[in-house]
Amino acid sequence: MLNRQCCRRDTVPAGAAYPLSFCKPGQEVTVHSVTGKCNARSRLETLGFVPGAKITVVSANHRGPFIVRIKDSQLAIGRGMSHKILVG
Amino acid sequence: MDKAITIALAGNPNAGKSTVFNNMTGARQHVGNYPGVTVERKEGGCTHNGFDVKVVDLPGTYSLTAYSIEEVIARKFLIEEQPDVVVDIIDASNLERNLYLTVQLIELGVPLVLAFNMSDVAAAQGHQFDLEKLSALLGVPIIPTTGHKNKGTAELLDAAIEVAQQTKGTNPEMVRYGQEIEQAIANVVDKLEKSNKLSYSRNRWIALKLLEGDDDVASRHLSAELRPVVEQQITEVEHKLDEALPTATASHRYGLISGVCTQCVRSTIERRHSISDAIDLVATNRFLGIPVFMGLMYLVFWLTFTVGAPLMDLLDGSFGWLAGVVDGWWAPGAESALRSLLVDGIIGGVGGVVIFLPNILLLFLAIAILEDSGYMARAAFIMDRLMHKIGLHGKSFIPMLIGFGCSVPAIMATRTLDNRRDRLVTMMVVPLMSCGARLPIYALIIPAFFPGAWHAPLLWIIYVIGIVLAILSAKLLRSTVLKGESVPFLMELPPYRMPTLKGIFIHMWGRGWLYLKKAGTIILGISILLWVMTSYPKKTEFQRDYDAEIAALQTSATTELQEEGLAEIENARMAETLSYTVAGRIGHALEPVIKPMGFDWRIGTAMIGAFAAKEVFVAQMGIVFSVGEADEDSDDLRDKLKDNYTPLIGFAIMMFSLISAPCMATIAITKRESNSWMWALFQLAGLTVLAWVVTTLIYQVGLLFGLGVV
Repeated sequence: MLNRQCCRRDTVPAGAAYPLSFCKPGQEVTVHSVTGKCNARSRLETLGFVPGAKITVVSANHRGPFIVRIKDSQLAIGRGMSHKILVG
Repeated sequence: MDKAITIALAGNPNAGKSTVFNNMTGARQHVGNYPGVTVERKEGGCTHNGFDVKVVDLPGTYSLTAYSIEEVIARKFLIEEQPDVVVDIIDASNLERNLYLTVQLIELGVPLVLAFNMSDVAAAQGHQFDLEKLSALLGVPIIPTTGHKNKGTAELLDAAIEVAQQTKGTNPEMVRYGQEIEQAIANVVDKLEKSNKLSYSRNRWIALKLLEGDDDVASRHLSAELRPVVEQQITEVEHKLDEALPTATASHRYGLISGVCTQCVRSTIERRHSISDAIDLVATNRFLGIPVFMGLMYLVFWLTFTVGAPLMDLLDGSFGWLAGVVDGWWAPGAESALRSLLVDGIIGGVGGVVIFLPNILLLFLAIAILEDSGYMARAAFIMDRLMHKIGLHGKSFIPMLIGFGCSVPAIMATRTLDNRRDRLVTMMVVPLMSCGARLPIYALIIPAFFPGAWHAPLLWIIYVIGIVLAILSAKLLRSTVLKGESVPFLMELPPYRMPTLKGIFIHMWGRGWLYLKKAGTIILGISILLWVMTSYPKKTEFQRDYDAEIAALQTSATTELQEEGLAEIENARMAETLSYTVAGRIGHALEPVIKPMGFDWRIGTAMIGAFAAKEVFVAQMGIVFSVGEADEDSDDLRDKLKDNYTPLIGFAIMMFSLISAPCMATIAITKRESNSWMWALFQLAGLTVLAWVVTTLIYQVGLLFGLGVV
């Protein structure tokens, strides 16, 4: 029963969401939704990219992959994928 | 009376599963600090409190979906082989993400024990845990362990055996998915229960997976009758929730987990991986990343060569001494097949390979340090941009890096790639990453032809050429036979860890031992075979009467002319003897093909031997240059090479060894992993042709510039 209170409490309104790829290093954002194909989306969700999750952008190289911190782990995310994660 | 139980180890990649496995079974499995070390399930055993315990180490997974091969392997084992108990290894310093798998294991209804690993790291990060409460909330026993200090192993085994003996499963309704989804699950379960006799918890799990659109479960349980029901439920729920069903279920699971964590975890300090971050600032920097990577690789080769050289000379000397001792058993100049077999075939062949052991050990020492520290994952990250350009992604780089060690595990490591096209391309080009077995060839050739200052740079260049060719071949394959979209890059960067001496030595010694074993088995066998081929049939009738020529020379000419003439005559005799043998005939038959690369028939025979194992090249050159000699002088094989070939040919040999058909073991593993002879043969043919083209080009262009003359 725990989950009823805590899930999606931080959800961003749809209008305010923008892709993760727009973010700058050091920025803290909240996941709004993950778009894209099933496979990629499922893998992101598995790693904690669910609506309401907090992520910190650690490094954002120009055109290279992103490094973000989510739930105590650092993840490298390809450019293409970073367009598909909407945050607020 | 011993009772037998099976324990399956599950857990996230890099959570310390292999360490716990080693602690439990006393085995020495390699432990790395990057995801995907255990690509295949590994088994070991021990006895504990009168129980025969079989331990199965499953591949590390973040989840139990069917999106990657590791997850499918792990899930299949859990469902089909029904281990008596599953031990889920949790990285305490990354609790929430690790619990995601735990929740799925709970939902699957398997008997479960949690090993709360790396709590020391978590404590250092300022996390405090209420394990009693966590255990109560999840409904499973939790045992704290510190894998690398081997703490908690006995307690973990105690708990696992206790759980294995109970019949009590976990609570399949641990996560409640909200009214809409729960209703859909109930509807599907209802239908399933009418058609099968599985337990409620298993049916609930199947229903959930069907609703999440899991292909693997669908292929087993989705009957024609059930399909419309499931599809309708999915449409309805997704319409009501306005989000995809798998997203909703993942949200609910993470919701539950964050709820549990707020109750059981207290974080006192807000300081996380600060040293890691500082290193990453340089290692993954957009400008510095690639130079740092290249520099580290250079350092690896420098270490392999300069530190290895004196040790190698020592070994070389001992084998020379051994050959001398064995040779002394026979009267000087006596003809003996046994003497030749022992001295030329076995000591010359196997010894020639064994002396490179220091180089191999140093190379693997360096690779082990890079792996265990966590740098390898960064290397994949740095290379992603480049890999992306050639149609692969950074993750392909890890198998390629492992390929510096050996192509066989590297090809197995392609399992971490989700997409079959990505996997195939990576498999095809992995042999271009110069493996450890090729190192002896470079280590023989480079010092033979090139001055000391060139050694490390040349070796580095060869490896870089391999990388560049791999990239170009991948690009070519990706735009021709293996077209298609590549899967986006997503990879965990584990915090840097200080590699443990024990871990590094296990890795290094494991590799070194494999090398020695190979030298003692395959290479010994092939050396003997090659020796026979290089010695028989014996020529008795020569075209020229060499003995008479020598005698004539000795009476007529001056001392200087004598020496020159003698050498010429001896060479001619040796060449004629060798040409008559099986190896000589094969080599000569090959000459038209290998001539454009600058190779003579002797190199040709060695190249054939190298297909069995690359090191054999060195052994065969040793045999070719010692068989048929009048006396066993102490002339170094390198000096003989230098006398017979030019530096350009030396370089051509290295190029051909780098690119050409990988060894038999590689072809066999490619066949197994791609599940197709077609791809294995394609790899064999493609690389051989590429090697011929590149080597011929280099040799011919080199000749054009007059490089081959000196």
